[in-house]
This record gives sequence, C-alpha cells and structure tokens, in this order.
Amino acid sequence: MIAMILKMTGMALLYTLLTMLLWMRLSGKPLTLARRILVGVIYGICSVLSTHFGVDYGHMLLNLRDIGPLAAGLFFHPLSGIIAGLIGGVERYIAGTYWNIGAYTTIACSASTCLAGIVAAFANVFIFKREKPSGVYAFFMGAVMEVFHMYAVLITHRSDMDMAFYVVRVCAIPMIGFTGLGMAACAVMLKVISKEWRNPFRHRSREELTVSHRFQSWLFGVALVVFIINSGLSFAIQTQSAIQYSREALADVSQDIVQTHAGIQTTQARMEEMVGSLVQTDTRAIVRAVENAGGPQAVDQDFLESWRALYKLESVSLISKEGKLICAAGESPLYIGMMDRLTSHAVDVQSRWLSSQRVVAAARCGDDCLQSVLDAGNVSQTLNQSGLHDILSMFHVGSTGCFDIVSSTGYSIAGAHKNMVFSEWYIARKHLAAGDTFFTATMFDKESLCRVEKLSDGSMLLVLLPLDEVYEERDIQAYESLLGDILLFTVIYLLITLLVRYIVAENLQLVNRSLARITEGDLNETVNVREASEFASLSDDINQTVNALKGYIAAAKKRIEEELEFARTIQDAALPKNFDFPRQDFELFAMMDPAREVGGDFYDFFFIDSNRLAMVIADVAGKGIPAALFMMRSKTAVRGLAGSGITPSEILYEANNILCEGNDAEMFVTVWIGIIDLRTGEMRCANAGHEYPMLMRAGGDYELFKDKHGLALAAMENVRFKEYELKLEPGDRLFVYTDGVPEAIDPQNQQYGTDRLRDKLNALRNAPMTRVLPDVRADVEAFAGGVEQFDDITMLGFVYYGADGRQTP
Amino acid sequence: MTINKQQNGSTLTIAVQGRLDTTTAPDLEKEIKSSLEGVTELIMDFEKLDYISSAGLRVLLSAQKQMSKQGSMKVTNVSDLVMEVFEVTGFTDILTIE
Repeated sequence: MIAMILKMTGMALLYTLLTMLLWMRLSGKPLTLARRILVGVIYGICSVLSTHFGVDYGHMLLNLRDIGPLAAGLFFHPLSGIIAGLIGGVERYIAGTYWNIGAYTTIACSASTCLAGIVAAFANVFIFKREKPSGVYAFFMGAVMEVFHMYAVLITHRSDMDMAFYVVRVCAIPMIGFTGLGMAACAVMLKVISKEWRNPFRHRSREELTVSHRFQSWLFGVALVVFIINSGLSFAIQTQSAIQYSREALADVSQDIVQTHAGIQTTQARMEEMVGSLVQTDTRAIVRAVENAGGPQAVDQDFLESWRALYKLESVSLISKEGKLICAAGESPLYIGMMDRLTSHAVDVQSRWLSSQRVVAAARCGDDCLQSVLDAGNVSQTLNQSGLHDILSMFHVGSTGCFDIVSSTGYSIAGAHKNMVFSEWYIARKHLAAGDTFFTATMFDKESLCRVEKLSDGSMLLVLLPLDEVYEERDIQAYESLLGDILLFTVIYLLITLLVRYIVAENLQLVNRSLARITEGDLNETVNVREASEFASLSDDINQTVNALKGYIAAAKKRIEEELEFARTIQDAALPKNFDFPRQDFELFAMMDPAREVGGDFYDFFFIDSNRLAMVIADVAGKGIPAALFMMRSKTAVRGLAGSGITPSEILYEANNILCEGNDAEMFVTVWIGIIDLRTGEMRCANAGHEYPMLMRAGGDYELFKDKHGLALAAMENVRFKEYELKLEPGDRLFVYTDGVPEAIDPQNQQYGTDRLRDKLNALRNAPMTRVLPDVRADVEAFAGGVEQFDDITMLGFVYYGADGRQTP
Repeated sequence: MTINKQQNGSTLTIAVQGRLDTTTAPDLEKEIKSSLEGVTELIMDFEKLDYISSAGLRVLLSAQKQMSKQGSMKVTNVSDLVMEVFEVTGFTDILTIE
C-alpha cells in the first residue's frame, strides 16, 4: 500500500516536472502547429509509458495514463490534447488486444484515454477560455476523467460484474485520487511559475467574485448535498433490500434442506427397519434350528458358529433368562436388557440399532434368549453409497455460504463441516434459544448473515451467508451509481456553468463594454443587449439614462455658452475700442483675440492728463474664466493707480501688492506699462515680466527692445520694479504684444517667434497701425496652418508723430 | 507632456518632458500637489522641456510658494528657450535655477 502510494506520487511528480519544463521552454514563444503536435506527441509517449510501467497493486496495474492528454489539452493546446489522447488510447488498445496487457479493461481504458484528450480540448476552449485552470479545477478534471474510466469498466462488463467490480474496487480510489492530484500539482506549479498563483483559501470579498463563480460555488454546494443525500438514501435502500433478499434466500435454502433432510431420515429409518427385520428373521431361523437341535442346552459353540457364518452375523449368543451367557459364536459384547423387554413386551423377537453400525436382534428361545448382532457397516455403506447423504451436500448457499445440521451435542451431522465439532455452534444455539431466526455474527472467520432453525429431531439447522456476498450486489450498485452520479452531476454542473456564463456573464460584459465607451465620452453609444428581458430592460434603462444625461449636458452646455457669451461681451466692452483720437500727434490701434470665449490678456490706453497717454498691455497666466476675472482685477488696479499720477514703477509696485492680496489661486499677470508725454515724446516705462517691446526708430527697422525686467505681478509682495525712459522721435513706432504672437505654433510645433514678427512688422513699416495689426494677426494664422492656438493673441501698436502732428506727405 | 517622478528620501525629482502649456499644466499641478507631502527638496528637471507657457510658470510659482514653507526648490537643466521665458517674466528672480 505504502509502496503503491510512493510510486503513484512519483509518477504524478514526473508529470508535474515534465509540464513545468515544457512550459518554461515554450513560454514566450508562439505555439506553432509544429510545437502543438510536438507537445501532443510528448504527452502521448508519456501516456504510453504509463501503460507499460503501471504500479502493481492488488493484482491490478494502476496507472496515470490519462494525465498525459489532459495536461497537453488543458495547459497547452486543444490539438496537443487530442493528439496525446489518440496516441495513448490507440496504443492502449493495441497493447490490450495483441500483447495481452491489461486485456480485461482494454475497451474502457483506451476509450477513456481518447476521451480525455477531447474533454481537455473542449474544456480549454469553452470552459477555461485558453486560460490556465486553477489547481481545484485541474483536480476535478483529472478526478472526473478517472471516474469516467471506472464507470466505463463497469458498463463494458455487464455480464461479468464480479470481476469488473473487483477491478473498480481496487483501482478507483488510487487512480481517481492520483490523477486528480497530479493534474492539480501541474496546474499549481504552472501558476507559480507564471506568477499567477493566488492562495485559493484566501478570503475573497463578494466584489472580487464573478457571477458565474458564485453560481458555481452554490451549485457545487447544492449538488454535493443532493448527491450525498441521494447516495445515502439509495445505499440504505439497497442495504435493506440486500438483507431482505438474502434472508429470503436463506429461508428458501433452509426449507429445502429441512425437507430433504427429513426425506433422508425417513428413508434411513425404513432401511434400518428393513435391516432390523432381516436380523429378526435370521435370529428366528437360528432359534428354530436350536429348537430342532434339542433346545439351548443341546447346542454348542460350533453349531452357533455355523449359523453365524451362514448369516454373516458378527456374533450369535445364547443367554439364559438370568442373563448368563450359555454359549456364543463370534466376539461380541453381551447386550443385557433385551431379555427383559422380550418378557415385558411379550414379543418373541425384537431388534435394535446399537449404533449407526450394529443391529442387535433378540428372540425367545425356550426360556432363554438368542441374540444375534449384525455388523451393518456394510449396510450404512450401502446407504452412503446410495448418495442419500450426499444429496444434502449438493445444497449451496449463495456461492460462498454454507449450512450445517448440528446435533444437540454440537456435532455436525451434515453440511459443510460434517463430522466436525465447531465452537460457532454455541453462538447459533444461543440465538436459537433467544428466538432469533436471523442474526449476524462472525462465523468461520467471516462476518455472516445466519439463520437457525430447530429440526424435529432436536438437531439444529444453521445456514449462513457471508456479508461480503450479501452486500456484493449492493456494493456494485453503489459504486456504479456513485460513479454515474458524479459524471451526471459534472455534466449538469458544466452545462449550467456554461449557460450562466453565456447568458449572464457574457451579456453583462457586453453591457459593461458599452458603458465603458459611454464613460469615455461617447454619449451616442447605445446598449443593445436583448438576450433576456432583464438585459433588454437594463439596456433600455441605461439608454434612457444616457439620453437624459445628454439632455442635461446639452442644457448645461447651452447655459455655460450663453454665460460665456455674456462674459465675452462684458470683457470686450471693458477694452477701449475708440481709436479715433481728435489729435494728430499719434496713432494707436490695439486688438485682443481670445483663444477661448474669454481671455486673460488685455490692453488699455487712457489719458492721465491732456498730454500724457498711458498704454498698458498685460497677460494673465492661464486661460478662460479664472484668467478673465483676474484680468479685470488687474486692469482696474492699473488704471486706477495710473490715474493718481504716479510713475509706472510705482503703479506696478502698488498694483502688485493689491493683486498679491488674497491671491489664493496663485495667478500672476505680466504687465508692460508706458506713459508718454505727447509733447516731448518722452516715455517712462516699466515691465513686470512681459514680452520685450518692438521699437522702430523713424527710417530704421523694428528691433526687439530688451528693456529692464521685473517679476510678473502678483507673484511676490513688495517687489520693486525698474523703470526706464524712452525718448520717441516723430515717426518712431512701438509695438507691444503678448506671448500668443511669438509662441503661436505651426503643425511641426515650430514657434512663430520674434524674428518672424519683426520681419513682418518691417514689411509693414509704413502701413497704418489699423492695417499692421490685422496683417500680423493674419500672418500668425497663416503660419499656424490650422493648428488650434492655446493662447490669447493681443497687440498694441503706437506711432508717434511728434508734437507738431502728422506730416502730411 | 510626460512627467517622471523619482523620490529619494525627502528629495523629490520631477522630470518634465515636452510642452508645458495651458493644456498640460493642470496635469503637472495635480502631480506636484499630490506628492509634496514630506518633501523638503524639490528638483524640477527641465532637461527635456521644450516649451513653458505662462500657465506652466504659474505651476512653478505655486510649487515655489509651497516649497518655501517646507524646504527648498530648484530648477535644473534649463534650456535656452525656457531660460528666456524665465528671464522675460522675471522668474529668474524668484526661482533657484541651476
């Protein structure tokens, strides 16, 4: 037993090792047709080797042949499984049919091996969907396959159930167990190698379990309970009926034996009577001869001897009425008492069996008595030879049961233990005395169902049938229905699992896929799963919800758009638009083009007094509404401060501190401010982190004017800004802009840049600003080539004509 | 834009690759805000930064303000183009640029 366990474990480990090695060699490589066939052949060879190196146990050869095709089909490729199954199965058939190896189970074994490959292929494709099965599932696959194997042995030997049952009883548990464990070991090791192993006993929350998983657990539990109850009940019923059947059989046999025994006894009694009469006749004949010879006193020993010899008697004796021996021939004990009986019964002659062998007859011979003894041994022999007693030995109790007719002294008169004394007799007598006709006890070393009956002659009939035989039919039935039920439940279980998966899980996945698309923003996606009314209504509900959401989103979008439009109008209105100045000493034009509805850039210009013009251009970090709000704050602050007549650097200093206050959003704004005295052309400027201005001296080119820079406003409190002076001569031009201009990008992510801007401005050096700005804007747009711009584009152009006003050409 | 974070004790290095503009700045801002806890030195590696817009500057300013409270921040490997933006906007005055 231990040797068997060790050998089987070794074979299972070899399979595990092979599977691990193959997996490691093949992992990461595509499983080409050649590789699939190779894997199939390797496992097929393993299967064949299993057939020829089986483990001898209880006169049977145990093997793990079915692991080959199962492992190939489940862990590698369906085709490999089928190939391995065919190789193992066909070879098994040849080995059984032509080489007489395990010939008894050839059909069952070869069929189950072929089937193992097909089942593995099917399971791989439809149940595990090309994923590696977990250890538990692999165990079940292996175990159930062997259950089928055993069941096949039973159903292919309907006419020879005893042998088939023996095979199954010996092989079932080790083969089912080790095939299952071998498969489980392979599966677990593969999971470990590919780092997918999870502790199956780890508690998993409901969220982690799939519907089909939970369904399977419940189904398995319910099936198990039903299975146990069903098996238990049918086992109990079969036990009852086996006992009932055996009792009836024992009663029938008993009745026959009793009848036959009685018949034999009658026959024997008649025979004995006949022998008795014979001896009586002989004795009377001798008495007459004695009387003829002159009475008892006249005869001698020789006379008696002649008669004894004539009648082949054992002895002939003459006995006086006092009981004394007068004369005798042959050696024989003297049987006293016969005389009294003769007298008292007033008969002339009588006979009596002294034992099974001797008959004595006594006859009155005058006043004396003549006794003759016949050794009836030969008569008994005749009786025996007639087969009368043998008739009883022809009775059979089942195939392993027996019976005995036991005398009151515990001596078997007839039956299996004839002429023997056995101690079991005592047990039987006790039950008989207690009135139990049937009882179960250990008789002749076997637990047996027994029946006792008292016979008319005081002896006892004991009939018994070993429990092995009583329950044999039940055990066969139990094994068969157990194996059959496991197969049936497995098939139902798989069917329901597959149905749940196809009807529920797959449809849920379809719904989920649609939902994922909706989540990604495709609100036009509709869920359309109509496999069942639940899914249809779920689909409809989701579609309605999405439609309702679409409505809300559209409404919200519309509201926001309207509000943004308002905001744009307000922002637009905040920028001065009147470029018609009732004086000739300068020209000014500006424009702001937000990237979105509202922007963070702004420009501003205003007269501080009749001769001093302030110009501002600014860029708030960020875009959209936050930038627009901060822009309004900044514009108000700068204009308010500028109005108080302080210098640009002071304006920026104060504005910075105002904007820093409560700047939780950490916004900042770059500002360039210039205040020009139109009478002299002297201009005081300050730059808080803004782009360099472009300056064109009259008659020259535009150049980037790298002015003194400070930090952007609202970045840090109490920052001092540098101020510089710029003296504009008549004809000088100044162009300020925000980073939306030089940082506009084309499809290759190239920036427009200040060089391009300068060249464009130079090309337009004599054009009025009302043309320069739109042209630059158009050039930037042409450069961008349709690429969406992320920044607001704002420009302000200024031409100084001098205190004398514009020179009319 | 790609953001690479590398934490070494209380030193966090954030390498930014690509364009840091209006569209990508919020991502960087979220990334920085979520990882500044317990950081005493923040290094912004701008070796592969192609462009920074004012929205990007705002993120830097915000990070700088936060880091002045809990440690220090420096900006490294700044390209010429980005450096120009820092200079123009005056950010060279408030950032530690190496």
